[in-house]
Amino acid sequence: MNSKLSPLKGDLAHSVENLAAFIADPVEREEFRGSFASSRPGDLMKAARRASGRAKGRGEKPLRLLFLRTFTVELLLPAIELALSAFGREVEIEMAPLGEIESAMGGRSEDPRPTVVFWRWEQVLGYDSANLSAAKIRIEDFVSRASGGEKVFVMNFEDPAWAFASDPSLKSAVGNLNAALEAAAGATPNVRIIDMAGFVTGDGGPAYDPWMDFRSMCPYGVEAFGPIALFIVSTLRAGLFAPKKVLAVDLDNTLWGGILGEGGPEALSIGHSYPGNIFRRIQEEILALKRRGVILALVTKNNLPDVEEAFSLLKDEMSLTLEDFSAVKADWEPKPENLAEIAEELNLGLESFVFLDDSAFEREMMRARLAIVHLLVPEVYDDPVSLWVSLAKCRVFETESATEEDLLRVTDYRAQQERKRLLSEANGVEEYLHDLKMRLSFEEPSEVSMARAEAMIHKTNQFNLTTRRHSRADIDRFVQEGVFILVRLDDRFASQGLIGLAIAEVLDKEVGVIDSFLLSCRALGRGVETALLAECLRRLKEVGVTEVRAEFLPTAKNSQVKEFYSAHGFKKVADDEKRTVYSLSLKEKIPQIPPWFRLTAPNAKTLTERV
Amino acid sequence: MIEMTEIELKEMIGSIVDCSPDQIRLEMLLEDIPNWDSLATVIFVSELENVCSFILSPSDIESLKTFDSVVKLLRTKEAEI
Repeated sequence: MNSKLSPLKGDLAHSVENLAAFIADPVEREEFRGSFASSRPGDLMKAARRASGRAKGRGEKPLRLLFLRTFTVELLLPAIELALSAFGREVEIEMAPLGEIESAMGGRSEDPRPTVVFWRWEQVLGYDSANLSAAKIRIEDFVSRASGGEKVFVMNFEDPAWAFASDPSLKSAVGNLNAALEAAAGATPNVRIIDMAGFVTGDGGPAYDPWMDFRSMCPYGVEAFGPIALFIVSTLRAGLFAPKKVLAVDLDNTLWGGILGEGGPEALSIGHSYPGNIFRRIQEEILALKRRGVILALVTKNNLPDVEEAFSLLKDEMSLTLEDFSAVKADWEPKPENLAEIAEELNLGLESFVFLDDSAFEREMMRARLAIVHLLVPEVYDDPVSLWVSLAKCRVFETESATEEDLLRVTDYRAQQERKRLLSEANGVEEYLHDLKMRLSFEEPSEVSMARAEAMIHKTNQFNLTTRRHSRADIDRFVQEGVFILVRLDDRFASQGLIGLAIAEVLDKEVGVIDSFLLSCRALGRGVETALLAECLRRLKEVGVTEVRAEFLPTAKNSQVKEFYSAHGFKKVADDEKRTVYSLSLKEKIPQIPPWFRLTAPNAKTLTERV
Repeated sequence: MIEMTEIELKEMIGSIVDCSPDQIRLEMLLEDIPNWDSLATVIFVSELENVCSFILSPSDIESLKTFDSVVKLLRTKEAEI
């Protein structure tokens, strides 16, 4: 084994970093890192209490979870709560009665919230592989109970390495159970596996502690509490919270070995032999992230023509091309400034950025100037293998699955550069908007579009009038009973996919209420918001509504839409710190879809047609 | 083996149950320590074993009734090693 890297220590550090990346405050982030330095439960408990007190003070909506378990999870709770504190919200965890996982799963619709299932192969299979068929049926039945509603995270089963060496069939039976669980979960969109089997045989190392198991019915030793909690919460993170969106990378000694400006392209290491193979592997890792919807940005202290020449000359050895990057900054400006400019160009917050650079100097400068950007830090100084490990082990981009929309987003940011060129050539904004040849469509809900709608409802912060994070069940109800509009946008450069939605309800015959109104930041500045509002009002008017009420609920991130309703003719009828209420009479002139849009699909069914 | 003082023991217990070490007296029943419960017992025993590098038998654990009994058990174990 390479003595330079201690796998357990290194993996714990990466696990901590994967969650620390979501803490915006640099001081709190540092404290979070330090909390896991000790493996003593007492220390973890103290840190968890501190983090909980801080989260309560913020007054944000608590993160509510239901834990179903067949073993004593209480011992792991402080470490899990501490790991969850990375998301800055108070945590409320309810434990279902020990062992009653089936009935608790069946009853969870009474109080819907994300659910985590902790179970062990011993309790499903017994200690006899002859029970395999019955155990598989139990698993399939259990997963079918989990289907629908809020997310359910289910542990898979660890290899029975400790027990029953005399019965090798048990090992294969547990493997079969995991395959059955994976197949059932794969067919159930809201169920996600927590890969404990992979954790204990790979990153986590042996976690089983027989003394603890007999004394407390908890299979893990106290030293494993921290790593296990971090692993579980990293999986929850991918299912419940938005991932990072942009990877900004350096070039010299990061994407290839050597310094372009010193020896020219010929002196660079990249390809299939050592040490160029390390950098090629880094490039492949980055390309895989792009395929999953991560936006790539290149930030290098080089001359752009030199960079273009090197990419061209070395193209047969490289996995990445310059075209893979949505933004390229090759100049001599400080990298934090360049990153801030890229964030503005892409219209994304810097909290979505991750920075990979071999240079400790550049990383420290980024930390000092833009602490909100997440840094990937190699364990070993000046070692490209460690640089690759820091990227390969980072789970901050992990999301449930890359949707069509995620992939469209990557191409659209590139198209953004083309749009800027068009704007500079056009005579005024309106001519530019006409030149974009934008096509709008208001879509019927489908399984795919509803997944996108749910993601937008849960992730959109800036252009979001009410920031209501509706559950899937609530969204389904709006589709059935209210006005639910999804808008898709394409232009001459790229398809942007589904970029906004509006939800409205009819309170009584004549009064409609806009519950939610949100738009992706990618689509701003083109009048899509006016078009979406116009369509929403048209549909409400069609069913006899004469007055529409709407609200603006301020958050830390949505100040840009504060005047949205006023700007569209609504009158303010109530106003305090927590909300502003507006009203609009549909008997008067109402907003219309701007003339530069072409509607390309028939409008969705109206409310009366659905009723 | 690391030898623990009474103060270190009190601090260990205090960090587990979130109470001040000053609240723990020698003759005190463990179950009378604020917030003490069966899970605290399990964590305490496990931490004690990790720090002192020994394994407590079921009868050792059974004997842990008061803080004084913890100290006595610890001293016995230290003498055995």
